[in-house]
Amino acid sequence: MYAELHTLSNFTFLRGASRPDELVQRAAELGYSAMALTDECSLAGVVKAYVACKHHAVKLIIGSEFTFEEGSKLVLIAPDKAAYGELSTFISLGRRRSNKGEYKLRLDDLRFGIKRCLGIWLPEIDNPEKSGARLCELLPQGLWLGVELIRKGSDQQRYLNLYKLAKKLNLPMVACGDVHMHTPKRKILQDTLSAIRLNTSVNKLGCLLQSNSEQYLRPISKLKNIYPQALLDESVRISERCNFSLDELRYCYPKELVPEGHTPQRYLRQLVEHGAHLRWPEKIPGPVLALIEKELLLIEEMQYEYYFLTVYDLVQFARDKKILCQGRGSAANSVVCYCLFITEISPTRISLLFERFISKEREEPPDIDVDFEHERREEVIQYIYKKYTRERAAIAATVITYRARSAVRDVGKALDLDPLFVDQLAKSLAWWDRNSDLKKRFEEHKVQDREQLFAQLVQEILGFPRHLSQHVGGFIISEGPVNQLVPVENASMPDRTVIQWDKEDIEALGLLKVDVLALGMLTTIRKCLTEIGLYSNAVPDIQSIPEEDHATWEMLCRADSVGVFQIESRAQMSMLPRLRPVCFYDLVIEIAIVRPGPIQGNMVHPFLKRRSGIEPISYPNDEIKSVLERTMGVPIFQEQVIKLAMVAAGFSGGEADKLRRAMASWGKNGNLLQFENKLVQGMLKRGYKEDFAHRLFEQIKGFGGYGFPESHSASFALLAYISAWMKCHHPAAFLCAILNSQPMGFYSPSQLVQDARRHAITVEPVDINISDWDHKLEAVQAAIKAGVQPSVRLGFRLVKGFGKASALRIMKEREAQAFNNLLDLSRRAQLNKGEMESLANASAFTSFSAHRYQAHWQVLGIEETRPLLSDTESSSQHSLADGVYLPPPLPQQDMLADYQSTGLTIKKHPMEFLRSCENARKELKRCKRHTDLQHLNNGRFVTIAGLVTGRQRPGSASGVLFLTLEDETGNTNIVVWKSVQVRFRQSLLASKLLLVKGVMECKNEVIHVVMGEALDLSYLLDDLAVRSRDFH
Amino acid sequence: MLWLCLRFARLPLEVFTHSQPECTQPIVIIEQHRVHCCNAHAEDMGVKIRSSWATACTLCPDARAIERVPAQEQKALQSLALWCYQFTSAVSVEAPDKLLLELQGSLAMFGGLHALLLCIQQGVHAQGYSLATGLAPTPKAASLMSYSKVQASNYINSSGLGLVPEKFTALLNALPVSTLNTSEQIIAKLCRTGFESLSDVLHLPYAAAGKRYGKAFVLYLQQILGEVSDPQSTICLPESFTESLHFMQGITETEALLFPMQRLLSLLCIYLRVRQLHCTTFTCLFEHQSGQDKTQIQTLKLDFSRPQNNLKHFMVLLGIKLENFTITAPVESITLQANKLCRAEQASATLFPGFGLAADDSTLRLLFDKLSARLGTNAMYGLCMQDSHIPEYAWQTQPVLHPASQHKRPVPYQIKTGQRPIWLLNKPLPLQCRRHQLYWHGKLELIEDTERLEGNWWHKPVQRDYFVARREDGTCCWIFQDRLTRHWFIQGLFG
Repeated sequence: MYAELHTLSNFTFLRGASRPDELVQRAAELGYSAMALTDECSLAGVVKAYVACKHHAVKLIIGSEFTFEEGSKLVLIAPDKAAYGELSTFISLGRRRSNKGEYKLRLDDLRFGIKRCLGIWLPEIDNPEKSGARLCELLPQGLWLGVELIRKGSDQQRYLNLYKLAKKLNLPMVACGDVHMHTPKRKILQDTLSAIRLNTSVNKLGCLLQSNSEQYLRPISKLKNIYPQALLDESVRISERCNFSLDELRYCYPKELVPEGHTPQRYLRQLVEHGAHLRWPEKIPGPVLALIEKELLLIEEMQYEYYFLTVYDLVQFARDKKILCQGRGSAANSVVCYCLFITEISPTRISLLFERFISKEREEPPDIDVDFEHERREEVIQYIYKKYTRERAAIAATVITYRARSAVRDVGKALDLDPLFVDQLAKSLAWWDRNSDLKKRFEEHKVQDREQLFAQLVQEILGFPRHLSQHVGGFIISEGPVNQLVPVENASMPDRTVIQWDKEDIEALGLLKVDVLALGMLTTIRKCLTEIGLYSNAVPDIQSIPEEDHATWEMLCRADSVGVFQIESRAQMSMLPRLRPVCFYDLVIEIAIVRPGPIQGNMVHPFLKRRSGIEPISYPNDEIKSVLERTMGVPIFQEQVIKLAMVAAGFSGGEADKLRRAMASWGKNGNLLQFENKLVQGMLKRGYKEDFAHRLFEQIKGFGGYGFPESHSASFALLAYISAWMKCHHPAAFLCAILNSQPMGFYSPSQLVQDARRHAITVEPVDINISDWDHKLEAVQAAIKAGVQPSVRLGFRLVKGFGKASALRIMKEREAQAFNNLLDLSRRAQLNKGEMESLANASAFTSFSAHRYQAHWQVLGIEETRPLLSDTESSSQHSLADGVYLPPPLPQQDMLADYQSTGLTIKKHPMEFLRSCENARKELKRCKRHTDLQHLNNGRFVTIAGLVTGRQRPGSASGVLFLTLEDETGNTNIVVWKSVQVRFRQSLLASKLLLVKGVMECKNEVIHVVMGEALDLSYLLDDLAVRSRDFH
Repeated sequence: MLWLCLRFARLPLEVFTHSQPECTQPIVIIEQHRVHCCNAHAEDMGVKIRSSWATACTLCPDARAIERVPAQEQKALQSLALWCYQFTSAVSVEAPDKLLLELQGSLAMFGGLHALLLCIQQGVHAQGYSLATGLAPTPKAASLMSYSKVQASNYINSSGLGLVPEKFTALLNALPVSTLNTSEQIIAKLCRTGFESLSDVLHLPYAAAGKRYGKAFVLYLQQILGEVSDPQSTICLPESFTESLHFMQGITETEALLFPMQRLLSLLCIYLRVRQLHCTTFTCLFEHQSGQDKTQIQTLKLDFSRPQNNLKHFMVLLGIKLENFTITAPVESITLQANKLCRAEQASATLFPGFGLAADDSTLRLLFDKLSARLGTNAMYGLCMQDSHIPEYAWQTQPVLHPASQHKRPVPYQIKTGQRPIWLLNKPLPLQCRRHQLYWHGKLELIEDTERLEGNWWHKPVQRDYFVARREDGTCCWIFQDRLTRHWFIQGLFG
């Protein structure tokens, strides 16, 4: 029997060539009694190994390998929980002192840091005695001399030397393998990883590669031939001393969340009751009370109270500071969360399914994600650090792994292929072209002998970890110091630290994790409320927005949804006039229904068919009706799938949730089949016909598997409704708010402004004496009196090359007195020439100079004189011109300059110029515009032209390409089928201004043009700063 | 003064294609992931300059992509400058892609501007380069005029010895501001002030312009207009002659070498004429790729009994030498070197070619020379270590008569290996194995540990277990078993 005590997995980045689970599985197959995972100064892989060990009969020991500054190499393993805490702290010490990805440890650090861990010393070749003696002194609790015999020649001599050394220092010897992979076949990959790590190619590494592939998990029979039996037995003896398991890390929750004299259960119940009274001031409905009981009981049974209490505390903080926040995802299925004000979905609006959120069978703690205003999320993060201190709160990691492109690049480089060739290979995996004839390309470059190797290595390396990075918002919070639970290292952001485990690892061990996410729309909503507050006190907060507002539904049915949360994309806009939402639940369905899957392209969702009466609705019985009635008999939501399994086939809540998960990954593994049988059997037992059971299963597979959770869709529907209402009734305030919250959303500022102007909002240009940094409403009182919307004055934030600090100085100086001229401005606001130029280019000086060219000329002429002379204006405005008076720009030049300096224009649209100029192309003159299309019949031939502002090729829509062309009246959707794409490839790929000839299609007020021919007219644009956003 | 500017607009591309202009493959020159230049075939497929490499890839997947090599462009420019020396001695280089020639003195000799221009254009085209020309009274103006869409011949006056002033001025004024040879920031500033063509800029009051765009800019304008002098530095001629031609598709037949050789030799003749020298010997190096990384060079040396500078003579002798010469692999580049040059009248002393040996090694040198004369230069070699686990790659021979090549990295001596024999055989020899007993001219008995060596899987995989074995007569041998074929071999002998 044997226990391997020195193993590296691929979490020793770019050295180990096997995954932790592969190592565990192989060790079990070989009959090892135990295996220690000892990645270098890291515990990043141990949880993955721990999860694997649940399915294999081999004991896992936690440890880590270190190379000290003095040159000694040591493996430390943890026999118990206290030793584990030491090890984790020790690793953190080494990592925190160094740059990201490195560590620094001296032998002295062992003196105070390690008192319980056991050590295996791997002696160096020259003069090992001195360090050996030192280590003996530092690790009195247990030190062994590790003997690693890997056929490097003179193994026998080496053994003799080590034997003498061990005798001299009085150390026991143990056999180990310096394992880097689970099978020798991985040597090729291991060499490649070395090449990548050393930034060279394999053929140039020479002796830096290992000379053979013996460093793998060897069969015990082989080991018996290499090592004396005593050394093998010693490994087992050591492993028997180690009995630590990662389960022991559970349940260390921050105690301060529960006040004195309460138990967590009692405190939670108290908070929930208090919240319920706030939510239902009159009387709490009976069913709600029952739900609350049910949920609290399960929470108590699973001991999940702290998860709720932690998030409750964060949400309270945010609400105190008036930071908008909302829970998302499956958490909205919980009434407890609703009562704690973590989520905003009431059980009266949608039917909640707690099992989708928590269930006994899941064995996973609840995942409560909360969105905060994106600009203020940092305040919440600082609150966490302050409350729990940096010792007890840390950010989860994300493991950055090899994807297709990075794999191709790094493997290509390691195999010494020509860099441009590798580039070409990497890019031909790009979104547009999926066919790459690998063999042919290799032949062209005369390296055909390497093609097999290349393909094999790329496959093997996919998914391998490269390095750790900071997770977006996942925090781990613990009762004691975090670095005793898991090592903490430096992230690349200064002053930020990250733990070595990712979200999956944290969940697998049941540690407390909260997700602090950012959502741009929450910022927009809050800013909009503030703007509205300038002229009306009817809407002080979200709750005062009237529900089910008719005008809002009408607006959405017209697909007038630019800027509205979640339903502003091209795909959503095509669905809105068909689905025609007229109540909140319709919106919940609308958001969930437009998803990747078989619904893209021209296929009509069966839900729509039933709604419009094309297909009949029928239910086999009342049970199923109760689940599917709200979606016309079509399973759309994940919760429906779960409920169906429970109601029709007798699954328990937890089992049904497993089914739901199996569906989400049904392409990736074969779990689904076992569920199919169970479902069908369960339904048969309840009296359903077999044929029906199979059909239902197919339906579930087809739509339910792709669907959103209903709760998540509902949370988003809330925000969609709010933003739609604001856009409908307070469009100027909404425009202001959404522009001030950029970057976010689907549309650029240019598109948002154009949409607003089409809704009769006046937008005023940037002006030095009027604008602020932020965009703002203007002439509010006058507008309200006249019954129109206020104007929106654009702010300095739009000007390229101009910063906030300078804008604030301008605003401050202006309070005292407005600026008289350019010199006055530059002196008082202390603007340098570059900033003045930026403002001049943005046409902000129209009150000082005739036009932007003259302004620019004058600005360039400002001399940076000494402040002493500021009173005696040695050069006046007039002499700033130096006698040169320039002609004004042509209108189209003016417009182009607007785009270059601010990214948008409020003058004529480029298309308008192109159509009306003297030598306009005759095709352009004859083109239709977007608004003209409304008056044409279905099936009519049309010619239309516009700026290409969107290119989208959803993966599942049978290769169809969607283009968006923008002209002065709106955005037109162009549909390009595959056969047409081939003919006009060049234009479609690179064009900025396209003329399209095709057939117009109009169904349910949704207008498309199906392209037949295209003409690239980009040359007409020169350097317009409108860029197209490519998706997918 | 009359200046001619030659602008080689496609130089980054043509340094690769000029020796084989009939190539039909689309070619794209890349710099920092952007398309810098491309040939007509690529343009037809829609590739545009300054578009990203990714876009070009997608539009034209067959395109051959080459990273831009500015060093090669400079060499080509130097070589073209040398060639221009036959027209005038005032040749200067304006990097990265222009040459400036002062022609006033050469007009009489060449029969006027038209003839001279024609001669130059034809000569440049014959070398495979494309050309734009500009004429002006000042070098900077000539440089600008090379961007004009109107050819230089259109504004030469009737006498053929000067320019038509009104036409010239009009064309100069019409050039866009972006052609000015100044920083991008200044050009951006000019555009943002609304200036579009040179006419807007050239007549700005100098004080105002200096305040806004800097004194250097004003100086530049004045030099364009000839108000301030603008001395040019003419090229220096190199001490020895080295020129190369590269071919994208290798040359496979010996006869096909003659044409490019003639081009190189005519450049050599121009050089010799200009420097008033003759050469006694020149060397042609034919370079080809064989397998990965290795370039092999075939050399051809021509010696002359008397110093020569006659092209015909060179070609005749070359033809005779090439008759007995076979190319072993497609030739990808040819380099012509002539560094033993002398004045016309003197005969060259027989120099003993230096082989990198120290000066006081004269007796050794003499011995080497005698041996190489008797046995041939390839019969002598020394040993050196290379960085590899596999023994036959770790031990390399190197010729004694050439300087030792530098290792890229010193071989790490701390690597613990098993024993190594003194004498490594050229090729491992197979052993016989009869009834579990190994034989090589006698019975063999294994005495030392296994050393397992593996590697080179990217070329030819090697997996061997090495042993030390003693033969009946006491000789120690280094043998291995190939794990892939399970055969036994001997590779070396211990002292």
